[in-house]
Amino acid sequence: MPFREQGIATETIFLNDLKIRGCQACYWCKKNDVADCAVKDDMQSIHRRMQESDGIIVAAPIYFGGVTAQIKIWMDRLFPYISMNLSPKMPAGKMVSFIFTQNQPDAQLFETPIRTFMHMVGLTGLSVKDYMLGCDLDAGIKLSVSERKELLDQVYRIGRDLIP
Amino acid sequence: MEMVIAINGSPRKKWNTATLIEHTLEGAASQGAATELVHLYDLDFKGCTSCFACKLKGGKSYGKCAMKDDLSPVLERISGADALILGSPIYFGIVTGEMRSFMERLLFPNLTYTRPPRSLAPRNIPTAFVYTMNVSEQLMKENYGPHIAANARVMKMMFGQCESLYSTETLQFEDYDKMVFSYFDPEERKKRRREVFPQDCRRAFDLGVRLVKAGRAE
Repeated sequence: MPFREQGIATETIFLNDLKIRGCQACYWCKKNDVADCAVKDDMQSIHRRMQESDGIIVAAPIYFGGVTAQIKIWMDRLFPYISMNLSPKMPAGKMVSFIFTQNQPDAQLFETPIRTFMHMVGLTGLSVKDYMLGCDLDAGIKLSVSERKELLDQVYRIGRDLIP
Repeated sequence: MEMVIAINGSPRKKWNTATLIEHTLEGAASQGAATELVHLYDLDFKGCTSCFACKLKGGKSYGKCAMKDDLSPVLERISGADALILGSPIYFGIVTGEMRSFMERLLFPNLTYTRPPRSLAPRNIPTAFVYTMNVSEQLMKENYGPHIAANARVMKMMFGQCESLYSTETLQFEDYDKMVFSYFDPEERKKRRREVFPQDCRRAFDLGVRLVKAGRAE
């Protein structure tokens, strides 16, 4: 909604619907010094769409004290954007914001893994703009996100403020 | 004869992580255990899809993962194993995505949704986590300590015990000349590979010995 109000086109990618292998540690991207990946699967189109975008919102629940496997595989495949001297290779000026959800009510409980994840995504050259964490969520058992106005307000602001 | 299973969460089958867990399995074999090494990157499988079939009252998949893919027979064999070793490099501060997928599929079905949570694992078995990483031991403790401790905690909760072993500042590949690279001195790293990595391999072997002995003491 906030994007439509600003006339910004959007697209949602569901990682779990796609076939994405983990990084194969072949170092092809480093031998060739390119922001490109030798593994040909559904990640190729995500790379392309990320590079063409102005901003990205990454959303993931917390499982076992960390981000889900699906989003971790996505992150492993961001290796082409990080040079061996840690300089970023993502075209500059793209924003990224994060939305996390967890069952646990304590927002501090997984702060370290959440901050580590955002820091690592930032190493690609995406500019980390903002993040939010929805706590005390468990589908069908606890109040859903759509019944939690404070969370809806937060996600609205995440969208509204993503692209300056 | 005991069955010891090791899970390789690295894409590479002949490099640091695989080498270390092979040594762990050799240690286990030296005590008379049968061993199996599973390469996760050979398998077509996904992380938990949050279907909750493993939590359904009276469900036929209660306590088991209902997803059917290449990981299903591996999970089945693990439920009969006498010791379990997980091996993974650290990518972006966390075990690899494939290891993460494996862990979700192993752990979530075995976890009761009760307060406090309980383990549905058939019995306690010795487990270990073997890590390899580019960073130094100091940086590992500062940055990855909570991640490694959390993995050990959840494995211990599920299986009764979990030991962590790590190999730091590993050699990433043989020929640094071929790479666009200016991060550290490759010669230092190669020296470390010759001198320190063999010690890590010995520690991995000893770990395998300990796991079998601990299983017999259970």
